[in-house]
Amino acid sequence: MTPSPELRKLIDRLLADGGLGKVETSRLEELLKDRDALRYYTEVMAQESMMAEALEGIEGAEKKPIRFPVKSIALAAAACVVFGLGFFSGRQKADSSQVVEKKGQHVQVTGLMGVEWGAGGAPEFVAGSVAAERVAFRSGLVELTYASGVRVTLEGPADFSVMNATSGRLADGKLVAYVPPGAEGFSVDYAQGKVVDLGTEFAMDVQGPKAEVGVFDGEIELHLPGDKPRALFQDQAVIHNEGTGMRLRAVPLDREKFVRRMPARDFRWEVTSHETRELEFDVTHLIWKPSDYRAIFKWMEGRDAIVIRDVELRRDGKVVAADIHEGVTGTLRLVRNNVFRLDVKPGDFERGRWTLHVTMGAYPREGWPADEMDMPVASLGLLQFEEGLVSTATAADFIGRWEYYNLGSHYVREFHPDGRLDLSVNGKVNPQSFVGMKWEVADGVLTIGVPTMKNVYERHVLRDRDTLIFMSNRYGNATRVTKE
Amino acid sequence: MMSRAENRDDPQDDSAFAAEIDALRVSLRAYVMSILPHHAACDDVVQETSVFLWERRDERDDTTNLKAWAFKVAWFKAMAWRRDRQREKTVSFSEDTLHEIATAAESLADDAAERLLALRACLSRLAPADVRLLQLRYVEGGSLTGHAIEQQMKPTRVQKTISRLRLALRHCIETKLFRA
Repeated sequence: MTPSPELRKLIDRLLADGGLGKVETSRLEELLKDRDALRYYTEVMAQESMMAEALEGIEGAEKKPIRFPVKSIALAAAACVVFGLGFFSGRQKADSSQVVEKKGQHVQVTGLMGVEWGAGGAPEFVAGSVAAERVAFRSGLVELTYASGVRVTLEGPADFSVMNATSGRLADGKLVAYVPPGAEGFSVDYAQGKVVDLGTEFAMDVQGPKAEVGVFDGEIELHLPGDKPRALFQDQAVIHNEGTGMRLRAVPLDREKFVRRMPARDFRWEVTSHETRELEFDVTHLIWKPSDYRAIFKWMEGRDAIVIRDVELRRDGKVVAADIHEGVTGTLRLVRNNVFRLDVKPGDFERGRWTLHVTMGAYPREGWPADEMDMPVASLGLLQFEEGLVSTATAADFIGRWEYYNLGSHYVREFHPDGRLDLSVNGKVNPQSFVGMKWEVADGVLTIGVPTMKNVYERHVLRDRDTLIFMSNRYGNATRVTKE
Repeated sequence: MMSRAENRDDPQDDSAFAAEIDALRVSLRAYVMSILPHHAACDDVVQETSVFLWERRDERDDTTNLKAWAFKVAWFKAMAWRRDRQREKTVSFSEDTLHEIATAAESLADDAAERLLALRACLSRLAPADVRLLQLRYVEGGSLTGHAIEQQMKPTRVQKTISRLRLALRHCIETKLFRA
């Protein structure tokens, strides 16, 4: 709502040093009987209470691009694969004067899923930062993020090259580009034309000389050879086929055809009764090729632990892979065998509807106090469906520092090459943690004992080079620390 | 069995509760500021609430909703502060109005962290002179009148600038939250 001048004035006076007198207080109370006014008041007070904290680190002298808080990256990691710690969501207009020598420095690979690289198409991988000049791949999804905040999601087979800080070239394949405010003017060339964004989200599907261009949101300009730019608006789409009788024709925007965001690898589950039941998860968007997939069941909250068994991966209802061992997920003391192997062999891979089926039931309440036995079953957690390093990582892949947040505190775990593990909390090393313990890696899983709990272990796997999963703790994923 | 005690077997549990309280700080401040729209009072009440929760950490169990507990404690601490000030004849809202405000503020508290992030982003786009003024007002606690004289402006103009910025920031935050 837009506040009335009177409401605004009274709140300003309330927050000024002198405060309000009796009459003004009564009047403000009157105004706050209106729901919108009350909401406005609480929003302003919330804002007021945060000012000092929000101003920390804001420099008055010059405008700086806004860096993603690392914490939000850690949270986002639950929803998508995030590689780059160093990318910006800067809103400043990308400027050709900012172009630097190496094109890839503008662009980070911020997500990969099920990718099979084509010849020479893999980006340059260095710890913590994956710069890209060209990505060419046969299958899967790749997400690129420009320094300006432009996000390009590519679906294979695709061949995309970074031209400079404000443009790219799609030789082949499908993309969706999200262009945030301030980055307008971002453009994508293709064989027969060019798309120039005017602040929007648009999609392209280039197959040789033919290109389909659609607008999810906002406005774009389509530049065709020898023609003036043509504007395309939200929900409009065209097929451009140069040299044919119908060079340009309007078609309905096919929203289902394009992947707009990197899909989540994490699925929430919840168990609320003693009865054993089968759960189904649609993992179609995560299976792009034959590979060794892993299903990790992680408990996050609730009084009960959970027994997991009969995990099956099915394509269009037919079982393709199964792991029938019994596992348990719960607090650190109880968790065991909570990773399930689901290998899809080359002959078994086809596109289709892929589903994961699992039987879950409450862990027996043996030894519980009598007055707690009747409490309702409560347990919830995550299924993390992984592929790649989850099964192939070696000790070398884990060495280094990993940071994560839990309930507002900042934690860093450092795996040393000699097997030691240091833990620091909010910048202070905790000397009691993991003292005398050594970590080791087998079958892609890192295991380390807990000093205060005999025969209790913490386990980690890697989602990718820069994302560490806690298999046996309730924490969110950790990301690799690349800077001191 | 997974009992309450076992939940505390977690090797990081010692610091976890402090971290849980710390994680509530932003939403707690927003809540208290709505009831007690005075920065120093808000600081005192939030601090007292945190200490209270910490000292009674052993009283919680698996069924304790820490946020609800914290807000309840903060409410009573705020009411105690208000009672003390009323003896000093300070004007404040009636208790009925405060209940209404508290309910509205509590419902707003869930997105406090997002609000803080949005506010940071909005602040980073302000002109340097505006940021400087806000730092003087909120971080350094400096004299706005002195600042006005230094800038050769009327003190009322500084207040108006603060008011304008407050409105612009609120609009910017709501736009960002709405977009998200």
